Parts: sequence; C-alpha cells; structure tokens
Amino acid sequence: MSGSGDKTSNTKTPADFLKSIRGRPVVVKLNSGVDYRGILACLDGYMNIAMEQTEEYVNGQLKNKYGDAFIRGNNVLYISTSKGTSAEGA
Amino acid sequence: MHEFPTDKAKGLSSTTTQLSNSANSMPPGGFSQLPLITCHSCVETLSRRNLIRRIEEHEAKKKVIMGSEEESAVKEPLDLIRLSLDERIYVKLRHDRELRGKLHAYDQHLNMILGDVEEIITTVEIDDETYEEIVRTTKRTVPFLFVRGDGVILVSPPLRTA
Repeated sequence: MSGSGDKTSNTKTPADFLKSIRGRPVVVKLNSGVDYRGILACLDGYMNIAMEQTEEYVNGQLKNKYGDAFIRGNNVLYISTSKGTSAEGA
Repeated sequence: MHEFPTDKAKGLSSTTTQLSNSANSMPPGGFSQLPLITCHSCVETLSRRNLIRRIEEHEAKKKVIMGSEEESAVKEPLDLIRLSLDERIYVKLRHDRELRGKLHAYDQHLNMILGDVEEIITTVEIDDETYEEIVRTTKRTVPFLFVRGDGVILVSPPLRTA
C-alpha cells in the first residue's frame, strides 16, 4: 500500500530488522534512562540483548563492561543503530 | 493316484471353468478396475510425496537463507548466558542493587540461582544545601540465593574496570 517501508516481498519486517542489526554498533536505552552503547552480538524476540564492549552512560560515563553484557528485554526502551560507538558522544 | 487326478482334473477343470466363467462374467472393463484402484493409491502417495518434497525444498531454502546469516539464527542471548554457568558473574538489579556471585542455574525469565553472593545496595543522598552526593553502599553476603528474574536488568562477567 504505502511504499514507505522496505518490504521486498518478505514478511515480518521487525524480525528482519532484528536480524540485520547484528554485529553493528547500537545504542540501547532502558526504561530507567540508562544508555548502553556497544556492538550487538545477538538478540531475540523478547528484546533480550547480548552486547560486546558495552559502555554504560548515565548522564556521564559510569562503567565499562568488556565482554558480554546481557540485558533483559523488558527493560529495553529502544534499540537504535549508531554509526560510531566508541566515539565521544555529548 | 489316478483317482485323484481325475478328481483333481475335475476340480481343476471346475476351477478353470470357474475362472473362465468369471472371466466371462467380468465385464470388459473389469480389468480396468484393478488398475484404477492402484492408480488411486499411487496418485495419493504421489501427491503426498510431492507435498513432502515441496516442504523439504522450502525448508532447505530457508536454511540456506538463514545459514547465510548466522548458523540458522539459533544464537540467542540466553544461549550465551549458558556459557557463564558455573562462572562468577555480575548482575545488575533494579533499585540500585548489584550482585556478584557464581551462577548455578538460570531460566528464560532470568530467574537465577547464585552461590557465594555479595549484594551491593547503592544509595545516593543529596545534601540540599551543598548538593553533595553521598554515595553509600551496603554490602551483605549470602551463601545461596534465588533471584527472581523480573528484577534483573543486566548480566555480565565480573567487571574488570569499575
């Protein structure tokens, strides 16, 4: 109908998006307002997330997590791709 | 010996006559009834076989498509938590709580069984006058702990840099 979406005759666009962003640097914002930036290792339909080289931002940078970080999906507000992760934000 | 053959002959003849009779009694299209029956079952098996073959082809295609992605997309975050079993982990909970302990068990809700756990509760008091943040941490150790999954925010190997 509307050609705004990129539906190329394959169904389930959200699932396709979830598959396509693996391995990319992402920004994950939680309901509590905490920000996590890292490289998305994998995620599932509940939005449970496994990330690598994760950095936690609460107003400023608080903690560095190296290795895997697993985030429970119910806490996730959004998952967004970002061009540069370790680059200095604001 | 010769008695029986006659009987047998009679019997045979009778059977042959029966056969001939039955052959005669069957309509010309009678023999076509037999092929129809087998054809019906053949058609049935053929269609089922075709259906199964199509399903297999479809699934093979799916596997090729998904295999090009990443090993048929089975790696869930929970699968990677499984690698941390019997390892010490760091768990961030709601209400500013943190746990460090040995992961004995977990499930899809992130309910966890932890051993030799140290819990850290962080409280921040802000002085109204000086706006000074007083960060207090309360620690306690629990030898064996069941954590309800809905309070879990984050699970990770122990922090190297804090």
